[in-house]
Formats: sequence, structure tokens, C-alpha cells
Amino acid sequence: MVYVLIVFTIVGLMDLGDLIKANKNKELKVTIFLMIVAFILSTLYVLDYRLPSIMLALDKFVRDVLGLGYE
Amino acid sequence: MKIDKGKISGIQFMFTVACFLQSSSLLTSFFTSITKQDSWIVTILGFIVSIPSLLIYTYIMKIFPDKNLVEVNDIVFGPIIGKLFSIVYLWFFMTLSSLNIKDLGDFVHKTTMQKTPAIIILGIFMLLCAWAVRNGIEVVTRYSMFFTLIAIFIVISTSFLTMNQMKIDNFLPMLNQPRMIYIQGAHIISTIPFGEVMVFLMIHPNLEIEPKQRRKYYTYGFIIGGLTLLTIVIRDTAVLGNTIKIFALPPFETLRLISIYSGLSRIEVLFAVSLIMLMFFKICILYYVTVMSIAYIFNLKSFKSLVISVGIIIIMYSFSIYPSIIVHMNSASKTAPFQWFMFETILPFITIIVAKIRKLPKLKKGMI
Repeated sequence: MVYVLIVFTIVGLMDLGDLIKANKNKELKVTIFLMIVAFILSTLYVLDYRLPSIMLALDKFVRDVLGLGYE
Repeated sequence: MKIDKGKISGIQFMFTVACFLQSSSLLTSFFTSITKQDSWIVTILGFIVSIPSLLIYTYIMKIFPDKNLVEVNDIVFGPIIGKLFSIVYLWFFMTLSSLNIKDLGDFVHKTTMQKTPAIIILGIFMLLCAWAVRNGIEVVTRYSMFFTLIAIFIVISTSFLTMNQMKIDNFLPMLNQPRMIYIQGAHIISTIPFGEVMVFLMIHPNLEIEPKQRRKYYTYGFIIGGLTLLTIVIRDTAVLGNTIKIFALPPFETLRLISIYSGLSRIEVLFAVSLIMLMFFKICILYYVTVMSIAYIFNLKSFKSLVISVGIIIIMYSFSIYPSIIVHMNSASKTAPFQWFMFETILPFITIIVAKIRKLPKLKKGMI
């Protein structure tokens, strides 16, 4: 968890500083949003929580609902 | 308005497309396990079947020469539905990025660095990709010609070195499998290596060549990549025969058999080198396209600040995408072709139909 915080601190210093200085508000908001998503996913990984697979859900939908797929 | 003002030449674009396709040619087991000794036939069939998709992409490039896929969606479908389409494509690009980096990470982790955690391997690799992506399309595609020519050299030289192991009997029996096998194989190849070139619809506005010439370079790159794939499949089938179906990495196994005068062996390291080199290139392209999609969806003026966060998301997504390689291979051969067909053929085709109905792109006032 410490490594996650260190990595995101470095990323924040690298990316956010220039955006704040240049007054790029839109880019700043999108970057912060993406950083939050990345931070949440990283934290879940460190805590050994595996997210459910979207691809498996899509496979099930294609195979069972749409009836498509090879045997 | 272009976010990345970098320009690439027609030749660079051609080698970029070729290199992109060549990287998939090293992971042929998802169809060779099904089509076995007839894999070379379905490769040719798959190439022919993917030509209509290629024509769709080149037509979109022709009618919207200065607009990438996200901008085209906004023009054709309007701001709201266009953004929805673009988000769907974004998910597709991000999934492709994650799948490819997972494949590479699994290969390195299982063959050379068993004790190194996968996160470290992927993290270091993505750091290098992030550096390339941050510097724009010119840097991402700069070494395309070099990588393509090295890959071609490796394929040709290893084909000569394995000639003493090749048997014409390994191609027999020919065409005696159920018809559905050939349909399945052609479908897989037309969507998984060949159909993925639709990502270049995000890059084509950065070409410094005339719109009329783009189809030529795109097609040549497609042919070079296709021929490389065909050569590798023919070589592997001639050497391994029916056993090709049991190997996870048939080209790797083929190269392991090379041994000349007991002094020249362990050639399979060339496979590892070319795999990492080509996969690096492909992942850079997919990573770049993912970042640019996000930038254009949100109408941003710059993309550099997004790169590292998107890279971390891609890595984390790759850990949850499939629980194992077996599940991945199973999905790639049975259901993924149908899913990818929607993104690679149906959606672009719908875009053309709607553009035609709405008579887009509209000419500006004063233009004849």
C-alpha cells in the first residue's frame, strides 16, 4: 500500500503541477478522475481483491443470450 | 483540432501496419489448436474474408481524411450518440491493450522470470510504453521499419534453418476436417489479428500523405503482415505437423528444434526477442489509441497528463480480464470472434451507412 501511495504521489507531482500552472481546468479534472480510478484499482489489487471479469460476462451474454459461439 | 500534431510518412505508416500484424503472428495457437495442419489454408481464407473490413476502413479514411474515429462518430451520429459509440470503441481499445500486455507478461513470467511478480514485469514494460506514448505518434511509430525488417529477417532465416526438419507429409491429410472448423478458423483470423488494424482509424489524420494514397500504404502494410503470418504458419506446420495443436507457442517450439553442428542452437531466444520487440510496438499503438480516444471524447487540448494513469488502469484491467490463459484461449477461439466482429466490422459499417444517409461529410460553402 505504501508503494501505491508513493507511485501516485510521483504521478501527481509529474502530471498535475503543469496543469495547475497552465490553468488547464478541463485536463486537470479528467486527469484527477483517471488517477482516482487508477488508485482504486491499484488499492484493490494490493488488498488482493480481484474484480469480476467483464470479458467472461460478455462471453456468457454472447453464448447464452445471443446464442452465438463455436462448440 | 489535432491534439497530437506529429506527422508520419506513408512508408512509416505501411511498416506500422505490418509490424502491428506481425506481432500477432507469434501467438498463432488460438487457431492452430483448432485447424491443425490446415492452419495455412484458414490463414489465406481469413485474409480474404478480412478484405471487406479493410475496404470499410479505407473508405472511412477517404471520406473523413482529417478526422479520427472519435471525431467521425461525433459528426455522423451527433454529439450524444457519437460519444456513446466512442466510449464503446474506447472500451474495445483498452481491452485489446490489456489482453496484449497480459499475453506478454504471461510469456515473460512463465518462461524467463518465474520468480518476478507479474506486476513488476508489466509495470516496467508499461513505463517504457508510457514514455513513447507521451512523446506522440512520431516516436511511437519511429522504429516500425526497423522492427518489421528484423521480424522478416528472423522469419526467413529460421525458415531456412528448419528446412531439414520440414516434411511435406505434415500438411496431410488436407481439407478432411469438418467444414465448421475452416469457418471458425477463418473467422478467428479475420477478427483477431487482421480486424484489429481498425485502430489505425485513430491515427490516419496524422499521415502527411494525400488521402488518395492512404489506401495504398494501408493495403501494402496489411499484405506484408499477412504474408509474414502465412510464412510462420506454413513453417510451423511443415516442422510440427499435427502436433502443432498441443503447443501453446508453436513458433517457439519450431525454433527449439534448430540445431546446426551442435554449435548453433538455442535459437528460440530469437522468438523471445522478436515477441517482446513486436509486442512492445503493438502495445504502444493500442496504448496511444486508448489515450487519444479519452482525450478526444472529453475534447481536451493535450493528452500527456492522461498517459500514466491510463497505463495503470490498463495494467490493473489486465489482471481481471481473464482468470487464466486457458480461459483466454477458450474465449479467443469460441466467442471473442463474434464480439470483435461487432467492433471491427459492424459498427464501422453502420457509420458508413449513416454517413451516406445523412450525406456526410457536408461540403463547406464555396466548395464545389
